Amino acid sequence: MVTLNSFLVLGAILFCIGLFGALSKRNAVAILMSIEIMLNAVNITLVGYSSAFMGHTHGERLTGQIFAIFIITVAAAEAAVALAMIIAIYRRRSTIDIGEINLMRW
Amino acid sequence: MDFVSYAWVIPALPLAAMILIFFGTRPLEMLARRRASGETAGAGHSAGHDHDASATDAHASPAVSAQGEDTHGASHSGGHSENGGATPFWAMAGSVIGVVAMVLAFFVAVGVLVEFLTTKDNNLIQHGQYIFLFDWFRFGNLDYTIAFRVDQLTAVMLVVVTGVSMLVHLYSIGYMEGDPGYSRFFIELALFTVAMLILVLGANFLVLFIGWELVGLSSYLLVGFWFDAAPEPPGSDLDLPYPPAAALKAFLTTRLGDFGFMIGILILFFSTGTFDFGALNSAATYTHVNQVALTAAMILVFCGAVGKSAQFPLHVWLPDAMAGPTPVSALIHAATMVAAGVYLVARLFPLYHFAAGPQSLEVVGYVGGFTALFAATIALVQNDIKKVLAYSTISQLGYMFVGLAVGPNNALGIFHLFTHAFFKALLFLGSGAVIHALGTQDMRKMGGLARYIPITAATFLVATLSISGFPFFAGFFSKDPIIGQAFDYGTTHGGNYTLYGLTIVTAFLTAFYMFRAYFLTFGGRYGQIAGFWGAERAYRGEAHPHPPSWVMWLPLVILAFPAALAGYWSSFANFLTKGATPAVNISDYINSAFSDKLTLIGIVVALAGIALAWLMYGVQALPAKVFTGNPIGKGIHALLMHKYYMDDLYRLIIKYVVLGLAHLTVLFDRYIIDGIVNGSGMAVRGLGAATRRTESGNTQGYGAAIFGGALIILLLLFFAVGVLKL
Repeated sequence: MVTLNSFLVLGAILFCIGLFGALSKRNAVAILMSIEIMLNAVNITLVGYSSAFMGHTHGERLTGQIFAIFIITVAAAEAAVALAMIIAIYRRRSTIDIGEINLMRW
Repeated sequence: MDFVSYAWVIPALPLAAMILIFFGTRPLEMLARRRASGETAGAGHSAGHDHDASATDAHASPAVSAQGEDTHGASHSGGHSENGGATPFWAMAGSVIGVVAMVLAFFVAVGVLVEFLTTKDNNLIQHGQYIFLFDWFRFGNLDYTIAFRVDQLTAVMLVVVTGVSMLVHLYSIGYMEGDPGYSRFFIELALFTVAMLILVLGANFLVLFIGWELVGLSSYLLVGFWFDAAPEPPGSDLDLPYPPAAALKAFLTTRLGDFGFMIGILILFFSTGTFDFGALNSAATYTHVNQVALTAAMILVFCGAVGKSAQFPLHVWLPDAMAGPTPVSALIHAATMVAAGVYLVARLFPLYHFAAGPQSLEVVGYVGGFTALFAATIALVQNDIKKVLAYSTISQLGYMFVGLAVGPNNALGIFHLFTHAFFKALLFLGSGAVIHALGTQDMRKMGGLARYIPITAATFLVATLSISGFPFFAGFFSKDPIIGQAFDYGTTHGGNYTLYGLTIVTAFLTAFYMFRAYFLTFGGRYGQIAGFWGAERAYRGEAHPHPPSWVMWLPLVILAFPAALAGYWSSFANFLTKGATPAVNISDYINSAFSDKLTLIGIVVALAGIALAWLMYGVQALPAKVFTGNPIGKGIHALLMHKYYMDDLYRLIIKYVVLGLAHLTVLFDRYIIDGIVNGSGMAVRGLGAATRRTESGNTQGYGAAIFGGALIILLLLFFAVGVLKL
């Protein structure tokens, strides 16, 4: 039986995996991938809520799903920009190790 | 004609003239001057040197021009016209605009006065005409309105201000002829007049205060008119003030009084909630007002009057204000600046007399009485003709305040203001004609001048008789009632005749020093008619006196009429008090003036003063050595010559008290204020140094902090709402 809890547990597990990756990986591309995982975890949660709480109107019913689609779109754009930045950084400094990129340091 | 509702035209006219001269004729004049200097190379910069050149020209005799003080006196005033420095066309056009505007304003003012004299409209008589201009701003229930109110007091002041100002404008065409600042002079003169007109027209404290401050500003500008004059060379005993310093002194001294004035206004406002004179002067406003606060407020308001009207101890600016051109002195002393203080007290008279405690008017009276005597004694020994007149003004203003303090209404003080305006303007314009003729203001270099400038001498004599309280002249009718009323005041106040004593002694001194000035200037030993008229032998100076042009003697002649006759306005009190006191016809008026024993004492005192002056300076039968020969007399003479050391006292106060305080406050500023400012900067820098380490540039560190922070907040929330328990 797939209940709301199943959605939420899956979302939470995915989110923690993503968070761990984002905070521990040194490779910028790996961090980007971890962030994508976190975003998708949120998507799962939204869709789960959307199917669990049936509203009275179409608008209410579909809010969570529409949000998920928005997030997918934004994530795509974000991935494009972030990859472009990573390539630019690589060209300049020959590394994508996030520990080496600390120009904003005091 | 409905002149009263158009009273706003009166200040608008000189304002328009000022704008026309400022933006019209003055730029044209400067353009013309530049073009002229371009054609004749080298002559263009002569404007700045006019003073020096004329000064040496005026005194062909090397003995005189060698004396530094004399050259200085000439550069102050006098001989601008000597070297043919004619007024440029556009400058002349500007001054004509000024004169025409003033003539028109004077006619409107006379129209207003005549309308008040003839009207049968009771509402107009009792409340005057309210002229609303605009709302400055509204604030809750409070209305800050810019409005004029014309009533009898204002009507009288309007005629005085515009009349004297008109004649001063006309006179200045002659006096300032060829001065490099000719156009500027007329702009500032018009501004001065506008300011005073706004002051007397204002319907509430706000408008009055705007005029009050504008008067202060324009007196600053005019006293410092010759700001580029050379400072006085050391060792001169005439003590001519340095114009920029004198201007600053005038401004700052009056400012000192204004401080009290502002506090007084605010106390009045907080206790009554209104600025309007009509509301302030009606008794109903004061049913719930603290009497003590009101009395304090009125005394503080009087502080402003003390500053503006040059009463002791803030009188020191007025003698120094002689550094300005003589027409300005006439305007300041007769109609504008110093009249403001008297007008203020007269305007608030019901407040002083009925609402506030008796202490407020006592302060007014005793300050006025003391100042009258104080200034009169200093005037006894002055050698500078303008200084004598300056101290006499201070003294006469003291009379006005006594008149306001002892009178049952404000008519006594204002009547003296009214007559004084004419004879004092005449005296100053006359002295200006003398200075213009000779290039010096030192009376020791004059004498017998009636022979050379008879019109000036005759009109000066009229004014001198008037100010001395000689019977049948204006000053007699306005001054003797004040002295008489001071006596009555003493009788009704438990036999305290201090004010009477002060005023009667001052009357004697006034007659003496005014005639001393007259004899020293126009008459003197070897003169005709026992020294009353001049002769060539009586002349002690070297420069050849030249008679004034018509623009200069015509105002003198015109002013001589009111200076002699203004006292015959018998129902002045009836007019000013809106019919509260009965009207008097002219024969009763004169009869009552002479039937009173007190008046006879006044006449005797005045004649005694004149006689003493005649003995000492007219025929010199009684040399001044009689008084200054003995040690006591010598000491008093030195005391008076040093003006009771008031200036030195102020110098000491400023040097030690004010500057000492300044040094203390510098320490406060340096260590406390700067400490706070620098300390906060240091604290921020320290905090920055401590916390900058957290900015590691490590993105993942930031991420961990964000999520860790969110987690902590979340946990706290869960604990707070009870989802989790410890």
